[in-house]
Amino acid sequence: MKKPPLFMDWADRVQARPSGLARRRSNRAGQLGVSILTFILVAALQTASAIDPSSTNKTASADMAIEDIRALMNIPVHIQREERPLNESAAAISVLTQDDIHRSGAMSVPEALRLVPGLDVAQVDSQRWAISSRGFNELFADKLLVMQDGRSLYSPLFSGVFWDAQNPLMEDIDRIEVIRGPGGSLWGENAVNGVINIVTKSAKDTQDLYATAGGGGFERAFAAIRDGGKLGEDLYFRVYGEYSDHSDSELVNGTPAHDAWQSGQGGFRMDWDKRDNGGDLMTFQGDLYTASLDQVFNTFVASRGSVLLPFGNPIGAGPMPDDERTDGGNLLGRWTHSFSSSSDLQVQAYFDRTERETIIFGDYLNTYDIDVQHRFALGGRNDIVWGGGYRVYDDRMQNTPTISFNPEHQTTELFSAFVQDEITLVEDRLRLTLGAKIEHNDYTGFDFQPNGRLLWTPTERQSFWGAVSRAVRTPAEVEENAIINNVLKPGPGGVDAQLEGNPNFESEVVNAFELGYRVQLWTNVSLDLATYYNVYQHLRSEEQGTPTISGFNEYIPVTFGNELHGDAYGVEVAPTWQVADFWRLRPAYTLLKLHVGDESGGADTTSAAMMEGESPQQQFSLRSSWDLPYNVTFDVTVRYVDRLTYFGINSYVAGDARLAWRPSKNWEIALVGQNIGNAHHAEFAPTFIGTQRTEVGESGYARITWRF
Amino acid sequence: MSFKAIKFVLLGWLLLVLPIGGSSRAADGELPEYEVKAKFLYDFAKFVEWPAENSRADTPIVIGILGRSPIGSELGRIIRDKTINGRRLVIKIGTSIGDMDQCHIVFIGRGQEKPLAEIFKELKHGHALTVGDVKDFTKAGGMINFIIEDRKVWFEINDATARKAGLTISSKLLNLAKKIN
Repeated sequence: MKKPPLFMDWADRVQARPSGLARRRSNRAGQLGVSILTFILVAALQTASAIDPSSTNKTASADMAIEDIRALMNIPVHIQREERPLNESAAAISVLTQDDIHRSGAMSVPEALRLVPGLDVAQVDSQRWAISSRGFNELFADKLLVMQDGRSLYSPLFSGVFWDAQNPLMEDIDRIEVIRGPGGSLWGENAVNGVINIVTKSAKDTQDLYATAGGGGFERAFAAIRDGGKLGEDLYFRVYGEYSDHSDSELVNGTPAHDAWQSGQGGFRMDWDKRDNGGDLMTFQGDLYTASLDQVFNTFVASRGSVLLPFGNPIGAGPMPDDERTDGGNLLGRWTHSFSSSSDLQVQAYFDRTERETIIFGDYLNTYDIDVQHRFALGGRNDIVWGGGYRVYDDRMQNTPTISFNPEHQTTELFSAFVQDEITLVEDRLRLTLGAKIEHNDYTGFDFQPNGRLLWTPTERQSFWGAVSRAVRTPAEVEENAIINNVLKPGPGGVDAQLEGNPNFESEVVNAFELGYRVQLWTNVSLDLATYYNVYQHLRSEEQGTPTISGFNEYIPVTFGNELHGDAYGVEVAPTWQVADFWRLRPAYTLLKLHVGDESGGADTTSAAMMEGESPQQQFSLRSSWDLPYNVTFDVTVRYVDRLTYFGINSYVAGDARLAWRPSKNWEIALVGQNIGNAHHAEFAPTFIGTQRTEVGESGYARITWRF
Repeated sequence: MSFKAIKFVLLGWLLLVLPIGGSSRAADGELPEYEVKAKFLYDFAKFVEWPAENSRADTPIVIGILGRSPIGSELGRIIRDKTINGRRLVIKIGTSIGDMDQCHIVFIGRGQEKPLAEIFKELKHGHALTVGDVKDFTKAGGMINFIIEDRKVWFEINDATARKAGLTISSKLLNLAKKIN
């Protein structure tokens, strides 16, 4: 980009001064001549002033500086759109800040996600959660992509997230970004109804020593410690460790459910940030975790093995207690290089290993991923991001009579490429974003996910946005090549529904149409509204075949198919009201109307009802935050969740409250009550993997925190 | 999605991008917005006098950037090896107000989310020149605000606020400002 030479500007300005020099703009040669003359004059002046060095020099340099500023005021600029505040995104996005998380008393990411308007968060039992956005909530809710610092937490085995293996230090989470709606073109496969991105703080922001400990009813005991330091110029690091012990949830009759669990996690993060000096940013982070979980599975009465019970033998089944364990770790590196303030390149690579052993399956998964992303400005109106990625899933299963995979060891590859262009149609008013992602996976070949978004900001205080997108949910390993034995009646004379994977299982598709509105109504009231209409195709169905009798037992084959379709519409409203300096209210309302139907000739009679009845039609929550004197804070969240018709689970009202006192900068005491409202209530029922139905009980904990 | 559809979409995008994106504006001496603002920040430092205890000749002039902003890296390039009245310049980037404690100039980036009133309340006891680039910045208590008019960067100054904080802004700079309070 050409910068006008300073002395030419001088010359132009000298010409424009009314003091005597005639303005001669038309003749280039004349202009040049005057410039040379002026230059000589100025040079003469400078040498003259050199004779008296004291004040004249200062005045001359001050004048030069003033002329610098005048020159700057004449340079046309192109507006940079980096670090755009939230209200300028053309999407239904919510961000949970560290402050939100801290004040809510949430001990885990799922608990924190309850605060996000529009998300459906249901606790299945002490260790498992069903979390989804805009419907289709299940234990392995497959239409929500969850990531932490760019690393996918989504398991390809069941297309869902094992939340009990995700235990980041809550204190070190900088923010959780939640986008409701398809994020296919930027985030890729499985971001069908939403994307959750957990972002941890940089090492620079966690230099102090942090320690916390506490205990209570459900959160029996927990402790965590983290310390940071500086290894060199611009090189920061932190190390942390945490332990928590959760007690059982309750069965319907109030007795403990035998699903208590303990987890330990530790890790580090290193940031080498030379961006202030025009250099690069390099980040290294890693975690190691282990968890030991009590659980009870409905399964064959058989120990872990790799041979399917030969058909014809008595089938035995029942609830079996298990000592489940999960271990794993990850290592991630990221390098960001800035070419200019509007252009940078990011390369990220990570390795993730997760192991899980239960009596119904064993899973040992290695994930290798590398991603490249380049951002640059094209002309004055386009901000382009493009990139690609390559991922390998190396998965080894341990088969059992209940769940087995064929082949037992699979390696699948995923290639992806994307591009996104943000086009400023009208400066500060109208912005069009077009993007697309193409992926190739080993099951369904190529998938194309385009999207278009428009943001219209008619005034400073309000904006409208609309989006049209196509997103895809790629098959899980279990849908392609697993065999799950679901014993409906123990034998002899028993009935076994054998759910079989389908190697031709297709990706599920959604075409989504969204509209949103954000407005700052008065100085202390703002409103965020999003509506959507989603059309789903090729939804997973379970096609029942003709039962056969062999020996004493009945055998019902069920195959995964894609014979269902559906549509959904809904509204999410989230106002924020700063009632007074010290008091903020945040209500939120969510409406979801989902209808699922059968392709003609399909043989699935139950899945449609399950999909329609596994998410609540309405949800309402109210969050109140008080800043009281003497450094006391009090936060209350009350939530209403509509009934789940498929499971026969009633609607419920429950609240969480946190009272905290921070007598000095260094330490804080907090008292937290969770799920207060009724002695215990059910939020979900097990799907897919048979375990007991449990309920969430009222509980509380106390904690003390030190910071140095 | 069929190949035909993909081709159609691609063609549509190219048609939109080329005429709009390839406009001649890009070529004629344009600079990125934050490069210009960073230069302003450096120049402002030449026209402000801080109280004596902040102006010792052997101490550096600290420019703080609150919140993530592209201005940081631009400023880094500009101030390298430069001095003002013999004092070197350093940049401090922070996300909390406490980080801005000893700064002579504090630039409040657009990306940070704390309300301005709260920030100014915390900075009140210091002697920092507050600079920002959001609407109503000076009304909320800031000293210098960047505004963009006709694709050029101008600035407005609230001198009263600056004087209350013990700062003296040279009249030469005040004269160039768009609006003086």
